[in-house]
Amino acid sequence: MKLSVDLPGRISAKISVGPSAHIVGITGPSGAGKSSFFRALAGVERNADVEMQWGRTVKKIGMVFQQPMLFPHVNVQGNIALAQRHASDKAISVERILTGCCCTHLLDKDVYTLSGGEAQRVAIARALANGPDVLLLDESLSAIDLVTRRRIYQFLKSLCIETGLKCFIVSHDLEDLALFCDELIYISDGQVAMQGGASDVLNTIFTSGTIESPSAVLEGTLIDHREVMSTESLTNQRMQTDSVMFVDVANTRLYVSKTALQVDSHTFTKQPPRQQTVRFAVKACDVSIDTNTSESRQKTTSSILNALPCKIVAINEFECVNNEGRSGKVLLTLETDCNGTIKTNVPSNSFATEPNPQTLYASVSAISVHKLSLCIGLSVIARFKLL
Amino acid sequence: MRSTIRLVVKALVICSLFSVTLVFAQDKQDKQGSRNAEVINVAVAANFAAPLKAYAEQFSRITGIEVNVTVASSGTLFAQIQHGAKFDVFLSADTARPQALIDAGKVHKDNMYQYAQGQLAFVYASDISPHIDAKPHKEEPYKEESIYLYKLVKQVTTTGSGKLAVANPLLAPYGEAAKNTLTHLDIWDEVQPSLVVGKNILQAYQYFTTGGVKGAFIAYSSVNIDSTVNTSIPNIHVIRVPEAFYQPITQALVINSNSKAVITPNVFNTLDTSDTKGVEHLTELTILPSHLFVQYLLSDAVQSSLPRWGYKRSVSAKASNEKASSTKSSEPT
Amino acid sequence: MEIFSSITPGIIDAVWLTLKLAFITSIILLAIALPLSWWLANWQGRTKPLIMSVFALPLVLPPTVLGFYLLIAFSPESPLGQLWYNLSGNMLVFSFEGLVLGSVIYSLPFALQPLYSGFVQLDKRYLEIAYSLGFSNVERFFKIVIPLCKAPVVAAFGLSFAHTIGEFGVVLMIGGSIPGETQVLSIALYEQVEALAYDQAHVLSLLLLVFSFILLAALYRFNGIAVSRSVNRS
Repeated sequence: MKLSVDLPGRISAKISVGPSAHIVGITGPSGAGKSSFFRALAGVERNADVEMQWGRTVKKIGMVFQQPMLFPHVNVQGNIALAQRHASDKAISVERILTGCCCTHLLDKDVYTLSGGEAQRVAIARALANGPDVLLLDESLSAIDLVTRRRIYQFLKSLCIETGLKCFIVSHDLEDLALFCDELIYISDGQVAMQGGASDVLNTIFTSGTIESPSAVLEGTLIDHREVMSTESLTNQRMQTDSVMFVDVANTRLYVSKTALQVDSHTFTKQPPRQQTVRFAVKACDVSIDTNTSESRQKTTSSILNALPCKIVAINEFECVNNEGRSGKVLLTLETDCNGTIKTNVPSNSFATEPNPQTLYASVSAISVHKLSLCIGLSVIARFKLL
Repeated sequence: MRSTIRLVVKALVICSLFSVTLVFAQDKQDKQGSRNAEVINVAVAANFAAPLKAYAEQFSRITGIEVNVTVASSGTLFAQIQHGAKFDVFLSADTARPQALIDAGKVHKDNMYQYAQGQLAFVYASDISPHIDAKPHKEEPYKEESIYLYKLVKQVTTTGSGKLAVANPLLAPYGEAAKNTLTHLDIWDEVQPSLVVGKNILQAYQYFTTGGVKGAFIAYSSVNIDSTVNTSIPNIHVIRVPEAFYQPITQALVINSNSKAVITPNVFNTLDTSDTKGVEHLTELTILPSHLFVQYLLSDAVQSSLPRWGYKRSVSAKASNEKASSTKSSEPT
Repeated sequence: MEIFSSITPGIIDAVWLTLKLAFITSIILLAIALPLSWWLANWQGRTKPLIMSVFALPLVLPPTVLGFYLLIAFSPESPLGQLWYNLSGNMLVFSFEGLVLGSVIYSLPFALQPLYSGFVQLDKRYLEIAYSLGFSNVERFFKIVIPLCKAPVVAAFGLSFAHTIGEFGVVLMIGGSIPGETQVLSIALYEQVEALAYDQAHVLSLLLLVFSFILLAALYRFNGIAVSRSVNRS
């Protein structure tokens, strides 16, 4: 898909997105022109010069502003009904939309009684009820709490896969973007500064040191509980088995809470657990580095559950807030070490049978870097708590 | 931008303060002024406004007394005076309202004087009466005239819009006179649906001049200035309605005071205005300015000039003049 | 009360005529003012201040001046009067239709102003959302704009209505005071006062006053409810 928008004085952008991208994220500093870009695409910016090559027929472009702009003269159900008046045949059933946007219980409420987050959910549901080919969300989930937000993103992603809907999302939450976007565009000062695969763009953003707490997204396969119980003698220990899941990342078992996991399919239980791919985000400030890679995991004395063998591939200093002196903090970019055994300074030569290395970020103090003599190429253990 | 707004606001405040002070100063000056130059306030019904203004001007020239003229409908002026309006003299279009003021105890019972008699006329557009005989016969007075008028009215009500304008019979004596006339012609009931009623006799005339109606009963004074019909309006024909067809339109004035006014002897009848000594002598008299003005209006000179304005001299003025002066000359009517 | 014994059929006629005139005028005004003020609210031409002034003229012109020129314009000898006569066979001046036309011109600013303000204050994003949801311009106007601007619409109707009820100067000039046709309440009242029939005048004035008061109170109450409902929490 190729999009070109020229609005003099606000934004001049040329974007090229791969055909397989379902959700495209757009981010950048405030006032950069992201909203103008969206408005131009939606066709409500009169002076904009817009050229769109979608690669297929696109008749409807739905738009959701940051302010929900629900019509106050009807209640929630009325708003949805108004959207259904000219719904295209691509629209899915209203019940599914309402469930997916977590607003089924809001149907009979009057618009002015809704909270900010509730109203935003309804606004998204309304746009979906119209059956758009492309959906533009301009910071439309900013008032929704984390769990609901992720659920809605999840729903949108599955909808994109099912119906071919394309979503463009403007957000300042890089973790959200990292988890759900296939491609990412960074707009600054009315120009496109970066565009490409989400993880690549994010990497560039994070390693510039301007973001205080980057997040990495790790992908792995879900491990069946029963397998874990039988191989480990954990049954006699009190364990919370309901909300903690076991995920295999780079041949290492990690402990992740259920709420933090995002799946690529509809529900958890549809596919056999072994083949289910899941993703979760890890904040750099939650990750610490242990240079002692020889210690056996079984005998760990630390409460930190997750230990992922990695290799340092980059070291960048954080820019200081207010540009005063040096921040004293350093961002380490790590790559997962896919060998099952943990060895130090052993070059990984078994990539052929193992999955691609994944990126992880760790935020450590400059002092630690010096103390532990951290350098590029060093194999370490990345430790982070249960998410 | 802000400084401009501030400047404008300041200018506005200063101007308002200035104008307020001016008003007070003027008021003061007026009070002072009235001690030196006397002023009277006269209210007049609309139809007599033009002649009155002319007479007021002449009066001021002779006596040096200033006359402020207010023009409105008789009903309005009556209501205002009843509720305390400070007019010295009120010239009404009828006798009912001055009488009502007397009855209400506002005015001394002897302070009412008839000052003129109105004449009713009928105007019609030139496309009316192409087939009617030109002139009535003098031998049978009024019979031909009534047939003539009857035919005119009928033709007006059947031509074009078919509307005929009159003043409101309830409010204006000219309207009442029109009603008398139409009743006399036995067509009042017939003509009622075609009537357009003006708030006063001037409005009835206005309806005619703007083309809304093809015929109207109006005050003769509207078209008769200087004994000639006002020919500035094209396509207009006027006939005076014979007096026998309607009740006389007697216009009376009152001097707005509870003490009896001194009207006789009328000093103007014995005055030679070219005699300056006589004029100066006026100001030494102890007659109130308002009484002087009424005397002027009722004087021979003024009364005999009324036909020029389309009015007839009032009957009682004629009578009182006869009483006062020793000589009587036959006046043309 | 003996004052009510002064109510004659003439007064009832005048009341009915006045209500009829006010209602018809207000409906026509809404039909004219809705599209007109919508166009004005969305138009940004250079001559806009001039056009707005033209439409606001009846506000500042003395009613009798307006009435006088309408008298000339409606007369059968003017083009407009002739056109009307050819179309309908009746005169425009001294007729109820003439009063309606005169009232529409006279009260036009009272309908335009609230609607214009309402439309200008309407958040344009509602319109953009409706557009993106596939609404046509006309449908958007009737289904979104007008429901969202209920208060200005009611105000426009109410003000036109109230203003026409009280109309005097214009009617005095072009009405001709024909009972059942052009003798509206304000004219009847004027004639009662002029004819010194104060009792009847009192009754008429009371009627006018009470009616106007009820109308305005209802208007304000409705507006108050509408405003509190439209507070949008987002």
